[in-house]
Amino acid sequence: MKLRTLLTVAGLSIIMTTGSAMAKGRLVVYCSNEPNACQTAVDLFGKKNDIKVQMTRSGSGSTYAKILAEKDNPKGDVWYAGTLDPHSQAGVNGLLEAYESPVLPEIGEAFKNPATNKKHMTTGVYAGVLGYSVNTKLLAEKNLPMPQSWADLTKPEYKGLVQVASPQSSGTAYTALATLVQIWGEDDAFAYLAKLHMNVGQYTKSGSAPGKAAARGETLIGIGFLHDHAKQIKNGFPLELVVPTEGTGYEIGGLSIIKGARNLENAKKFVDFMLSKEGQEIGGTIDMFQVPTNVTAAVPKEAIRLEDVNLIEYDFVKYGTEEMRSHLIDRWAKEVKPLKR
Amino acid sequence: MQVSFGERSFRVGIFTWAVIGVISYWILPWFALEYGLFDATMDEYWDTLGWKSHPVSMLTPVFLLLFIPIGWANWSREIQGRLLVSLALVATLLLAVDFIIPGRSMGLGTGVILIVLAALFSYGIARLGFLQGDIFISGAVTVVIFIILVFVFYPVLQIFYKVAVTKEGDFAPFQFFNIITSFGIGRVVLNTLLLAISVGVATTLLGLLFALYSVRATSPLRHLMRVFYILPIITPPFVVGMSLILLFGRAGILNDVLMYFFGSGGLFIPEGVEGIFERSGYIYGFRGIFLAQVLSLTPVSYMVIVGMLTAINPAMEEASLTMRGSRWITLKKVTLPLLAPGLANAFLLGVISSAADFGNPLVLGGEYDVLSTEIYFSIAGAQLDFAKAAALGILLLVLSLTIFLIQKKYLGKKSFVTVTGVQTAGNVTPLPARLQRYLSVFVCCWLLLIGILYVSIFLGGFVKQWGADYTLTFMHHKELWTNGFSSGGWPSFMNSLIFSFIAAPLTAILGILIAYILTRKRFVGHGVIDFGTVLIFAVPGTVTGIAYIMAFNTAPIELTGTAIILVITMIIRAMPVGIRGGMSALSQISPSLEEASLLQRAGSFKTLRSVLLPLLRSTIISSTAYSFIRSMTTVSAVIFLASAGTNVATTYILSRVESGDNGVAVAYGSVLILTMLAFTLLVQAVTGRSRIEKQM
Repeated sequence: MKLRTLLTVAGLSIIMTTGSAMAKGRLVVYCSNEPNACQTAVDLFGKKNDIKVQMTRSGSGSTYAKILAEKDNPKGDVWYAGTLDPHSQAGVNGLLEAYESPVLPEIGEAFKNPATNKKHMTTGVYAGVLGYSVNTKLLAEKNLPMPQSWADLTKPEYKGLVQVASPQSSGTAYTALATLVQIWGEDDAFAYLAKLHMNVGQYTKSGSAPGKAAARGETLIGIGFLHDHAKQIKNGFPLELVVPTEGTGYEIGGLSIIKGARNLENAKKFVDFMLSKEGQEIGGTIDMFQVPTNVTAAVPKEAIRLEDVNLIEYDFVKYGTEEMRSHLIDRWAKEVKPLKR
Repeated sequence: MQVSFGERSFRVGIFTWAVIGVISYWILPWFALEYGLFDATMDEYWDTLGWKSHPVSMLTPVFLLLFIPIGWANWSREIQGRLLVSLALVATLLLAVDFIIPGRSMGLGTGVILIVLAALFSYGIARLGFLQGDIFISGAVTVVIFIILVFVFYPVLQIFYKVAVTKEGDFAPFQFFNIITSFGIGRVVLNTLLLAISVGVATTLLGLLFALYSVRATSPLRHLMRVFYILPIITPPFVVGMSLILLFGRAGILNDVLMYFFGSGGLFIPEGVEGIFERSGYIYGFRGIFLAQVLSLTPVSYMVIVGMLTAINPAMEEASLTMRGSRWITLKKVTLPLLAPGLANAFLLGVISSAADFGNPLVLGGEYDVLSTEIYFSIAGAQLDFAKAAALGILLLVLSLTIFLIQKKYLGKKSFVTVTGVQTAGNVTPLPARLQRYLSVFVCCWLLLIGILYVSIFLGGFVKQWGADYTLTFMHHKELWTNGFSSGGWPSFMNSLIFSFIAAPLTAILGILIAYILTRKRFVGHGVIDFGTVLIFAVPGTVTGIAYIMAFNTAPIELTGTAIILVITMIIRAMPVGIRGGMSALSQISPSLEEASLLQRAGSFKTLRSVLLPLLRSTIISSTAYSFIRSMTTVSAVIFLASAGTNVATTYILSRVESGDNGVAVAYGSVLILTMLAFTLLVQAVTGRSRIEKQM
């Protein structure tokens, strides 16, 4: 028995001394995009530069927590994708490294340095427009008019037919909440949300669920990021994307280098790659229809172009702070969520 | 001087362990490898060796080598024992300090050295006469206590710690009260209790009816009740919820039927008249979770009550009948009162299981928040509030622990012992005829519903888009299984298989060891193991999940993201099965057999191996098999711990459900159920009797 233990230890050590792979370098990517998008980007980058890339995928909130927890001994090198707010927070809390990529001139003005502290710690790597999509088959079946604006959604004929995520669990829903507040001011926005509440059939946990539910005909209208919904149209579902006439907000996908990254040079290379035309066009090849921030990159035909729609001046600085965030979410949870329908 | 055989094996043992420690110090990593053991390059591996990069660690081999002369010296047992124990303790303490102060993580080599120190410690306490100087059992006790301290107590304490500090790390003693009195929490607690109690009542009632039917009815239909044993074991908990969506969801098949007949423009509705049926999400929320939990938990209460029912001595009922009591009166006045403890037990089990259930509320919750999902979304969603997750975790833990202790105190040791009532021969009183007729109809409906649920799961994987497009297709299965082994469903499926395969035998062995120690040995530290076992039984999976995330995310023991943490979680989560199996098997073996062996001066190890193991063989096999199944289908704890590289089947399915790919999810679910079914039948064929069924 003891002999066997010895042999196991010896065997293990032999495996480890011979089996280690060699590559030119390493990179640890924390990725908050869809799993498929993460994998494709990382594979492409690794193959191109002969770098051994390790990728951990989790939502932007959890990734922020991870980086915060590892502050004294950072494990990750670069943080790719996920909504801007947690990136901003990480920047404010000194968890990120400033980096101005040589590709920066090709990046659209709004995305060059969007984060709260304005220290070039985060660059926008994609953008996605908020809106809603309507199941046209169900619309015809119910013989209802096509909604066009945010205000239309509160009309009584759509009672029970709207789905949106709960801002308590979804970043997408928070963006919607902040957008409405920026359009109408806080009190009017909450009055609107209370009316919308009467029409909401269900608040989902995940931000991408309403679009999928609309695609399947589980709901008529699903509020969310339209690039998610565009994918459903490509999959053959009868959806129509609506950018509300009052104007709408958008999200920026962040890309940041983690402070104290052990593979700083490779992290910079990764940022350069993801901002380049080549890196930004990956999305279109795998049905991810966010808008590239690199102006030279081709926009997938399914994606909504930012210049084509009425976007508000979304204030990422003000609405990205933790205080504002918890204030708005708390107010929603207290004033809107408990209302009787 | 001649040394006795026992003395020699003592010396050789110490020598061997010390040498193992020294060797692993030289060749295995002292610090954790940043990129994982199997991904490391030579240079990185080199850098983690203690003697290379951390000179202070050179004390370790010195300490380890010191054990050898102490073990070999001809001192009195007492001096020798004391020296060994204190040396091992000092070494462990220094080791811990060396990692905790700079906040670095332990490597594999350090893990081995800790095990070596534990072994040497056991030699020391055995020398001091602990457990009659039995080295094997001293070692087992040390290891079990070590495991309980590190993987049960420490994580639970971490929850209490996290709730007492703010995000910035300041001490905040009243944070717990601020959180639980904050807006919305009261409703969540009420929701949880309301659901748990209703489910408890419903499952107990249904369990009673089914138990009466299967034990007392004369109809041949009762044999069909056997599916009650197998289905819940092999079905991951949330799959029932998923199938309910397929049937009753907005796009569910039942709604389609109702729409067809009663919707606007439907078959039974005249032209131009508004339909009386409208698609809606009535299944989301309380109704859905309630139905799903009742469906999946009734078998559990059924088994508890059947056990009780078969244990009732028929003489009591016969007496009542002879005294001219009718069958009804007998049932009401004799049988039911005798069943009372069983019913109470079933009720409490239903309440605990409902409160701990995570999968069904996640899938069907809608806006009905319960504690388990609220904990998950406190740290997985946009809120990211560890203190809140910890506070809610404590609430759930307290709830579950209270119920468990009530159960243990008032309902005897039944909660530990399996429900293997011995079938008493005798004239079993049949059910009143009318009751049997009603029950037959009811059982038929129930079985039909379950049948439809499972059929819908299997069909759901083969249609394009349930609810919208019922074209038969292999696309979901193709996406899962034909894109190579590194994508689709394979990685998570293989992970599940491998992790469960490693975890299951360890669970069974550890379970039997704990059962053996708890029932057969008395010693200092017994209470630690006893309380640890209570916690293992009572801590809900969700709480284990957050506790592990909080405890093992940073130095000194950093395990999140590794496969090890998942295997450990599976072991701890399935441990009740192992312990129960061991306890019930040991209770049927008379201690006199072991005493005979011990009297002949065979050590505990020898006794376990030559006397108990042959008797326990079938228990070990069935424990292993059942732990394997549990590990394959577990979700509540692993969902917090699985990461990109260590995704398992259940977490993969849930992530597909969350993103709305129901076709893929049910396709995967059905494959998982079939795999488990095949495995169960295989094990049953090997072990002969349906032992697995009895272990529930």
